[in-house]
Amino acid sequence: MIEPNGKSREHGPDARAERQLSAGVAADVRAATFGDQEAFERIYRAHVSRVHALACRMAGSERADELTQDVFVRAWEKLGTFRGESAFSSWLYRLAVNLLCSRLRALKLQREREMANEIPLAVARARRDSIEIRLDFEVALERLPDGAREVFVLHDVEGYKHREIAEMMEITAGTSKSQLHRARMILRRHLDR
Amino acid sequence: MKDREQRKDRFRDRLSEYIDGNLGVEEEVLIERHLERCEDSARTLAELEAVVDRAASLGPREPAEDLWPGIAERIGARAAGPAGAAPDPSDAPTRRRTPARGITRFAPQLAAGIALVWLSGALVWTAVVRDDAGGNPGSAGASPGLGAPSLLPPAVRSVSTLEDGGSSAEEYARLISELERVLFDSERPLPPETVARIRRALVTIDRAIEDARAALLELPDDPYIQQHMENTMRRKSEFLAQAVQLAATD
Repeated sequence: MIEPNGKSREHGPDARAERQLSAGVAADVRAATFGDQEAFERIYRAHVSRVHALACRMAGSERADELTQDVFVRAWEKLGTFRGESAFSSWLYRLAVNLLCSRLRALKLQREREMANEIPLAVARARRDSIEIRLDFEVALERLPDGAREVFVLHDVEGYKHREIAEMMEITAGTSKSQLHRARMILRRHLDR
Repeated sequence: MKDREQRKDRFRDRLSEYIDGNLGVEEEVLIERHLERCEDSARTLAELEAVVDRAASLGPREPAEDLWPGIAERIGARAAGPAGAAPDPSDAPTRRRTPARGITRFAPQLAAGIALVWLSGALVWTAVVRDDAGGNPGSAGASPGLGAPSLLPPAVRSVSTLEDGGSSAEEYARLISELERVLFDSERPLPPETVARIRRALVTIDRAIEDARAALLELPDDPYIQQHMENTMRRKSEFLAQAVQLAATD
């Protein structure tokens, strides 16, 4: 089974959990497709933590709750388009990524965040040498410049390929690669936090 | 010395691709040779690999509070259930949902746009009315209601019948077009400076409409943006209707 994060879903705890869930999830998806809200709640509970993590990392913690709800409402609306050609979780996370990318793009938050976030992180980096600021890796991730943050989350956390990221974010694969390198170069300063 | 630094930077810029295995064999060999000689680059490579490992280890994050009640409330409004009742994407429900609570947190620009439209409309309207009332502030508040309703153009009366969320952007567009025709092509034109002020106010409102239109191109089904679009157009139609009333009672 190839998840968006294709590197480790075949084996390991994620794969085992997914296999255990898959039978139940398939039944729940079928039931939810016909309007069973309890089945959809089970789907929600099985996937909310990963969708929420994605929303936190892509758009920031302050918007994550709202966006997570939006993802599941959209999933409910689109359940009929799920044809079982991939794992349900892959379908759901792809839907989540697309929604998050669209929201960030449409509402022009990327530019706003870039201006707001470049400075704090740059300051944090500059001050690190002198007063050893402790900046959690996840916090540093959220404060990455827009573009770099999203590419990093999609590539290194979620396991998407550059060509997939390019398509979702409406950028070139080359831009995706350079943004990824930029993000990693910044984050290496926050590794041991 | 400078060449050496540039060379190091050039290699360092490729380290992420090296880690991901996106380089050709020749480039890989070149980088590996460089890494054998350059301690700094080797350290950077180790740090980047650690970042990749750390990212892969990041786990799920539960929301601080249960989000299900909010979702249930929103999908509960769809009595017929999801699109899946007929598994065809074109059958997806098109009914508009109530905008999510607190969604304005997610759309500061749109919220700012709404505020700006209100503020600029109110300020300019006050200025317009004051000027046209011969600088008598006392007449400003009363002027929009001075005209006898039955004598006003139908488009103005239409505005008073529109309700929040009850009319589509298309209806507002038709109404706005009619009001602009009445206002600017009238046989009894407004003073040029009044027209200039109205047009300046409309620039702000039109910009907000354009922003909403661009957002709708990206997310045509987003109810919040749809509603923002309709609200902005309603503001414009109300503003124009007031201007028409002023012209009629001048």
